[in-house]
Amino acid sequence: MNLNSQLTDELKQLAGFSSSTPRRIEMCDSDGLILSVAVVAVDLLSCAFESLTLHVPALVGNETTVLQAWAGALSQRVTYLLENIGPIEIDRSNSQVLIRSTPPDRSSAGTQFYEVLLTAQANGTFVLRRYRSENGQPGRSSVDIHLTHETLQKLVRDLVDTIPQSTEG
Amino acid sequence: MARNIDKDLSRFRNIVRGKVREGLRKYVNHGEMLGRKGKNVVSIPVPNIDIPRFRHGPKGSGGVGSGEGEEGQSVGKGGQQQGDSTGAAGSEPGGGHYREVEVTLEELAEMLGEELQLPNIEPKGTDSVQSAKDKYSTISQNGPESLRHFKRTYKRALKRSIASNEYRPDNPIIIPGRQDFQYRSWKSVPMPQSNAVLIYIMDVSGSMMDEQKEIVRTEAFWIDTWLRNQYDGVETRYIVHDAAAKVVDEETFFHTRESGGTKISSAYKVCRDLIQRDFPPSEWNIYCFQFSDGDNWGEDNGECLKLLVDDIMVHCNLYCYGQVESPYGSGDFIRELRKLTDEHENLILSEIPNKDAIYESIRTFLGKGK
Repeated sequence: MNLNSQLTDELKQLAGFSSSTPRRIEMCDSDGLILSVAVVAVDLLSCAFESLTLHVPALVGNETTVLQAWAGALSQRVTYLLENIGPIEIDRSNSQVLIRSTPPDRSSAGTQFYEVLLTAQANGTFVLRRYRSENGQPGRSSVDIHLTHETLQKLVRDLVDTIPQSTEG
Repeated sequence: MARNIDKDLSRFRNIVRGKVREGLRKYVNHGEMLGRKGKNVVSIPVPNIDIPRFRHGPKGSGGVGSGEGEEGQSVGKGGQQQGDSTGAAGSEPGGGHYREVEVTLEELAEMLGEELQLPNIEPKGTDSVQSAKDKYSTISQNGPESLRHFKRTYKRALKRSIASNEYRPDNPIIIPGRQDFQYRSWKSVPMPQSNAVLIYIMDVSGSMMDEQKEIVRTEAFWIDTWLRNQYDGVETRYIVHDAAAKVVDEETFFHTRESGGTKISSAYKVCRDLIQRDFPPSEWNIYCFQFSDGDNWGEDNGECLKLLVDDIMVHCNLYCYGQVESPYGSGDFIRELRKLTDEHENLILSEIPNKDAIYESIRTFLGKGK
């Protein structure tokens, strides 16, 4: 059973769920990919979640260029969120790539943006979060991401489809 | 005797200085308005200055005291009044013309100090370290042959020859004797030694855009101008960092564009090593100015605070941290530094959301007179 089918089942089961404390749902497939979503609320059409994490064991120990390739492919493919995303920082020493909304959503109240961290360390992960910063105030706070079930499934499908071939081994 | 033109020139200069001072906040916040002319002079666009001048009316139109009229009658506006007073507005924008005036950096620093009410800096430790430098500016009766001044020696011999009536115009041979010999000699001139070092640290990670770098460039220019005015000699060092840090030259500092992550501790390690190696704190007044968007990665903040407190701030007259706001907002790092401000008086923090905040930020940084 692939990740999307499992995700669909989980969302159906959680319909009507709402809590200030996120509930983490986890799914894994035969390739060893592990999808973890910290869900805050679910209804029949949409859901709100704090973070979405995809563990890709095949990425562990890969060079930053592999992550860069994944970041580039994701930025081209994921164009249906509130803002487009693009790689901002590439940290070769820590094998990490930071992707953010380009440009972020700026208003008189503040700024909101998606942030994706790709790392080839530990488990090899993709982590998606959304942040808000208020004008003139240092720091930022995490905000929930709201997506329809369909969009979330498309996002997961695009994540899996764009995973680059490992250069290891 | 002072010439009239000198007085006029002096008055003109005062007017120009007044105009520059009026617009100083604008020039500080928008550094691109300043044009560099040589090492110590900048050109500044100031609104055109109206110079009083005679205006002549049409020929033969009469004037005050001529023509018909009764005693006590109001003179009114002389000359001919043409047209009615209503007219269409001009199609060109107002605002007038600008004149480029040249101001030395020293004058600029003085104006900045007066406008921002900046106190004079009090050097610590070895007040104004100086070294002696030899300058060959005098003449001596003794010295090595290699320093013999032939022209003076000859003139002296000629004078002696004439005075002793030995000089023969028909056979003008002059033979300098030992008593005529003149030698170049030196005087020891105290030369100021560079006794203050400015260390600029800038985050050049991917989240620092061109606008943020421009803010840093402008603020660094004014800080540099002020501190150079305060010290006889100032050394400057530049450190850039993303996830790794390095010492670079001025050109690279202001124009480099990296895209790495942000690890502020890497810059602190380079700064610590630089101070230890090149600038013994007992002999140097050390000023650090760090600029970042505060978006530090991972668990780096703890190491940053430790390095800053143990290895850097103890040696600094001032440690200034300016947090510029990137398109993604302002980072968390300034919050971490705020925890230190109670115990460390030489730590100054400033938030710089945009260009208009540069002026106040400079006042915050330099207003303490350390």
